[in-house]
Amino acid sequence: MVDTWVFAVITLIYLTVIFYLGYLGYKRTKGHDDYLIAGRKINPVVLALSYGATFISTSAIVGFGGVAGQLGMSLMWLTVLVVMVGILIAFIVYGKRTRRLGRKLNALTFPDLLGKRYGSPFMQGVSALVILVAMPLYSAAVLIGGARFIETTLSVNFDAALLAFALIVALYVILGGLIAVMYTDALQGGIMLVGMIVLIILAYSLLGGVTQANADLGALVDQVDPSAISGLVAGGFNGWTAMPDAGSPIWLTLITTITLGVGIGVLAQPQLVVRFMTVKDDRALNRAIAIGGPFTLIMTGVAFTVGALSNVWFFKQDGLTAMQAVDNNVDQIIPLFINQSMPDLFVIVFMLALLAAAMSTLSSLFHTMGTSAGYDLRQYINLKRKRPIKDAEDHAERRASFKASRVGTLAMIVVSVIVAYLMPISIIARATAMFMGLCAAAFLPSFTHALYSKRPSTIAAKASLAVGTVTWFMWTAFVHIKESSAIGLCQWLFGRPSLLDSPWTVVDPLVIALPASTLVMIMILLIQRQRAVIPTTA
Amino acid sequence: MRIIEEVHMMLGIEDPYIIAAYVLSITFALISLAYGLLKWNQEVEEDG
Repeated sequence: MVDTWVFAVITLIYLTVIFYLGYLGYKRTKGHDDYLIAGRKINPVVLALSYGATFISTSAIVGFGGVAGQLGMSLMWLTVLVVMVGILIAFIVYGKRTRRLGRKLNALTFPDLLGKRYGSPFMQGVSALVILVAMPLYSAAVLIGGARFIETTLSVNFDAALLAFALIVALYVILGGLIAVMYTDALQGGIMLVGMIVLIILAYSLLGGVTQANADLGALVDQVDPSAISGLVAGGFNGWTAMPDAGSPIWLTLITTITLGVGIGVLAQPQLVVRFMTVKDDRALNRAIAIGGPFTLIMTGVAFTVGALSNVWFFKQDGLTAMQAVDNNVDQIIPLFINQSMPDLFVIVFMLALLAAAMSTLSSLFHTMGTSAGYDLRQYINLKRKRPIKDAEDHAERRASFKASRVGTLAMIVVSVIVAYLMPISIIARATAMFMGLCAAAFLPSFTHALYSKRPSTIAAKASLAVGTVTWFMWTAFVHIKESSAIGLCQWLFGRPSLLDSPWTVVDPLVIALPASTLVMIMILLIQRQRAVIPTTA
Repeated sequence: MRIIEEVHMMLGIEDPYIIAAYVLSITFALISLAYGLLKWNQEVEEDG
C-alpha cells in the first residue's frame, strides 16, 4: 500500500499547479471567444499535448490496457490506427482545413462549424443534441476510470473518490474555459509521458527483459489452467502474443469495436476537432504533429504492452491469469498490477499520471458538453425563435452566451456524475468505443463534406447525420448483443436479446452505421448533381 | 521475411501480425516526427 501522506503531499503540489494554471486560464478569459476557443492563439506544444492528453484518457490506459490484459498484444493494432488516423490523417487531412474554415466562418464549437458551413441551425442543434446525449456516457466512463484507481490505491470509498474528482475538474473548467483546459492538459500530458516511459522500463525489468518477458507471455497460453481461458479460446483466442482467429467473435470485437471504433472514431470527436481551431496558423499544426505522433505511440503502446505482460507477473506470483487475479473485472487489471508489482514511489508517479490522464480528458468533455448546451443549443433555440443572427455579435448577447456556457458546463458535470454512479463495472473501454463509434457514424461524412466541398449540400448532410445516428442507435439497441441485452428493449419487444444471429451480434454499430451515413450522403449528392445537370443540358 | 525473423528474435514474439502492429505503429510515429520537423519553419499562407 502506498504511503498515504507522501501521496497526499504530491497530490497537493500537483493540484496547486493545476489550480494555478486554471487561474491563468481564468485571467486570460476575457470573453466567450476565449472561453470557447482559447482566443485562437494556443502554442503548438500545448496543442499537441492537449490533443494527445484529451484523446488518451484513463479509458486508453486502464480500460484498453485491461482489455490487453484479457486479449493480449493484438490491441497494438489500435495503436497503429490512433497514430496513423488519430494524428497523421486527423491533423493533415482534417486539422488544417478545420482551422481555416473555423476562422473564416468564425465558428466557436464543432456544432457551430457544421451549422455555419451548412447554413443550417438544424445541423448545429442536432449535433449538439447528439453530443449531449452520448458524451455523458464517455465522461462517466472516464470518471469511473479515475475513481477506480484512487479506490484501489488509497482504499478510499469509490463514491467519494468519484465525487471529489468531478468537483476538482469542474472548478477549473467552469471558471477558466478552454484556455484553462488546454494549459492543464499540457501539464497533465507531460506527467503522463513520464509515467508511461517509466512504466514500460520497470515492467520489462521486472519480467527479465523484452525478449524474455514476451517469450514467457507467448508460452503462457499452454501453461495456465485451461478452464481459465476456455471461454476465450472458444471465442477465437490464440494466446496473448497472437492474433485471434480471423472472423471469430473476439476478432470481430477487436477489429470492429476496438480498432475501427476508436481508430476511426477519433476523426470526428467534437472535443478534439475544436482544438484545431485554437491555433493561429498551419505551422502550429505541423509542429504539433511532431509531438503528437510519438506521444500517442508511447501512451497507447505502453498501456497495451504492459496490460498483456501483466499476465506473466500474475502467473509467476499466484499461477493466475490477469483476468483471474481481478475476478474478471477488466478495469482492475492495470491498477492491481501497478499496485502489487511496482515500487511505492512509482505507484505514486503512475497514480498522478492516471489522475492527469483522467482529468485532461474529463475537462475537455465537460467543456465540450457545456458549450454544446450553453452555446450551440442556445443559438439553435434563438434562431428557431427567429431572433436575428446578428444578436450573436452583440455585447450583451456575448455576455449571456458566455454565462450560459458556464451554466451548461456545470449542468453537464452533474449529469456525468449521475451516469457514472449508474453505469455497470468493466464499462470503461466499451463506453469509450461506443462514443467514438457514434461520433464517426453521425458526424464523419458531413464533417468531411463540409471541409472538402465548395458548395456543401445541406440536405445530404442532414440526411447523413440523421441516418448515421439512427442506424447506430438501432444496431446498438437491437443487434449488438452486449448493449442490446443490457438495454433490454429488444427482449421486451421481440422476446429475444438480439434480432440477428452470430456473427452479427458482435459486429460493432459503427461498421454498419458509418457506411450507411456515407452511402446516404453520396446518393443524395449524386441525385442533386443529376438534377442540376438535366436543366442545363435540356 | 528476414526482417520479421530478426524482429521475432529480438522481441520474442512469433505472430507476424503482432510484430507488424509494433513495426507499423513505430513507423507512423516516426513519420509524424519527421513531418513535423521538416515543416517546423515552413512559411504559412495568410488566411483569406
